[in-house]
Amino acid sequence: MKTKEAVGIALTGLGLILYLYTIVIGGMRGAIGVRGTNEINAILISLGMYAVLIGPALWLGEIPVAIKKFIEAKTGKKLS
Amino acid sequence: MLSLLILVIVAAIYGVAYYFYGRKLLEQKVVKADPNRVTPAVEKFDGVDYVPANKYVLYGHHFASIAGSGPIIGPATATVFGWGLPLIWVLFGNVFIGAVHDYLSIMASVRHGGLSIMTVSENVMGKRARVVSVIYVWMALVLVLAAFFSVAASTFASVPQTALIMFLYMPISLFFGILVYRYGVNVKLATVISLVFVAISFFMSFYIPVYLTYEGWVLVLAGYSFVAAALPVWYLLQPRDYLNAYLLWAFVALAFIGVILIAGLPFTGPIYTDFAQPASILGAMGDLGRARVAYFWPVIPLIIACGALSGFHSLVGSGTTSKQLANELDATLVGYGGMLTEGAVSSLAVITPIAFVWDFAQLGAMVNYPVTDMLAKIGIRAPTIIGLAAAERFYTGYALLQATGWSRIFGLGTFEASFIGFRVFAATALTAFIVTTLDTSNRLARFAWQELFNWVKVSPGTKKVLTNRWLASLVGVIVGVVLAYPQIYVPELNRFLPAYSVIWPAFAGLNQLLAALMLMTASLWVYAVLKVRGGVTLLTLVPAMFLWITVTLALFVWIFYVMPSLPMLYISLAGSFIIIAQTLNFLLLIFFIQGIRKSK
Repeated sequence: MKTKEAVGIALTGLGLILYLYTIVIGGMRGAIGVRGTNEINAILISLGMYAVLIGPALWLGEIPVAIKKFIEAKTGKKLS
Repeated sequence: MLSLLILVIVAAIYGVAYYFYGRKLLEQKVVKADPNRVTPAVEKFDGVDYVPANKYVLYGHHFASIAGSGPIIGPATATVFGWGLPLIWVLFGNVFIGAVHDYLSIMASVRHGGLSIMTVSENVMGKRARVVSVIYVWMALVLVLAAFFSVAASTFASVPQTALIMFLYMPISLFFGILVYRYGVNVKLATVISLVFVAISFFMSFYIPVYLTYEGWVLVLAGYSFVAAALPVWYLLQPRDYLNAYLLWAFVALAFIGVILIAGLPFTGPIYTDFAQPASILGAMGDLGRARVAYFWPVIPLIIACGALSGFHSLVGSGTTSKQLANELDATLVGYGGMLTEGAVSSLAVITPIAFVWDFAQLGAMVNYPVTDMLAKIGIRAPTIIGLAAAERFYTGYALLQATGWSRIFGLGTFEASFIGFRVFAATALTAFIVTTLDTSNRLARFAWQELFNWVKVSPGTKKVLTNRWLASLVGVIVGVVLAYPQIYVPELNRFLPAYSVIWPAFAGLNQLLAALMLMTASLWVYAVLKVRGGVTLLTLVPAMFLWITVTLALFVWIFYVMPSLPMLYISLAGSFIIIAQTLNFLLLIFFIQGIRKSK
């Protein structure tokens, strides 16, 4: 496994844990964060979003097979 | 019957325009679109920006990207003129300027290898025109970012129930993209699975609001815009916009249904108030804000942006859309159809509801429900909808219309619950519109910034640093945040207003002028490159010149009446952007005239 993929998996996992944690806590308290402040749980779900955005891109970041096939069929060229 | 009459007029105008103007005239006579011509998405495929997409997926992306807060905030603000004039401007602008501009921008770009509309301007007006256009475009995009950071942050802060779904939309979209593109799962199945998750998220977000301050939201959204703009389009942008389109279609469909449900009830708002409004409608403060110099014409383009027409669309069309178009014939649905859909949002989901619910006491008496008491519970004490800020005007108007309509079927006992539900739904749709636009705008600002350094002479090392993908994204985001972050204290109202109330007219003005310039570029492309001759060339040229004159005059009103009244930060940034843009605008007009002369 390449380092990039490992970092991607770690970030994806971290992002999902942050989502799960903040939603469970938010569900118990009736809200994520506190009105009028920038409380830690609201910041954590935001950080979770960034991790979830970047993580899978590093982990599964190659060109998708379905798109590759479409291009090869249209252009007749073999993509690397 | 007024609501039904408006619905029929809007549907008839758009139906006729799409078939005759879009398909028969523009597609077949002007551009002569060819389904067998290989598009740049296929020819230059790179897996990041050039990626062919299904036409409905692309329509979803394009519609979601162009429909930021423009079709909502602008028409909501313009209702101070009464609801008649904004409606006419939206319909007229949509059919004769906006949709033509969007379609031609996409096709001109497709025929130029998917390169931006600025490249087209170089081909028809020379290299100097391209440099001027790139500077202009970068400034316009930065103002788009600033205005949209502020509108979205203000909405999340006011309606915190809309936030959780925004967070959950990201992993759901990625999940959809990976299912379809990586594992080859059937699109319909993946759509159903993902939409079930979206529905669950929507209900969860009702019960778990997310609280951050306005400033906190500006920073979160800026971070999102920065990260998302650097990711490959297939990975987030295509699937997210595709799924978002379902939410937005549901929003538009419910607007249609709502208008039908209130049939027979009169509007409580006036069709016309006054042709001249105080300059405060354009963001002016103090004494200047009280001067009644905001005449509907020419200042309307500083208020209504995307709902009628928008230069930003040419950047989306020639920036991300043209690079994903799999077939030339798809451009009519995506470009012309996308713009008409946006007009439908403005006319049926924004202007009609505001016109209907305008006077809260009158509405309450008409539906026999204590509307003013219900609104007071959530802090709305203004007697009319015009007393609310533009974004709040929209989601409150939409929700009150829906609550009235549905309570006629299910009884008045459902009025309050329907109002609360539809208010969150409308605010969710607004933020969905905006969030999709944030990463597209930043991606486009990055393209413009990188393109600029093809001409600015710096050492190769410096150029490499300055045009780095991440740095190029960061520059636009930083300037956008600086403008959007402060809330502005208005002494006469004794309250703070979100920055968009000041940024919006500057953003809208630059955006509309860009539309005029890009429509002029597209007209020149039709004349000089496609060699189209005769009366049909006037179909693009006359609207372009009308718009250019209108917006140029409006920006002078802004420079003389609004700019001097603003805080120093906005004079130095938004003010300098507008003054530079106005100067570049005249330069581009000269290049345009030279281009016409050369191609004769």
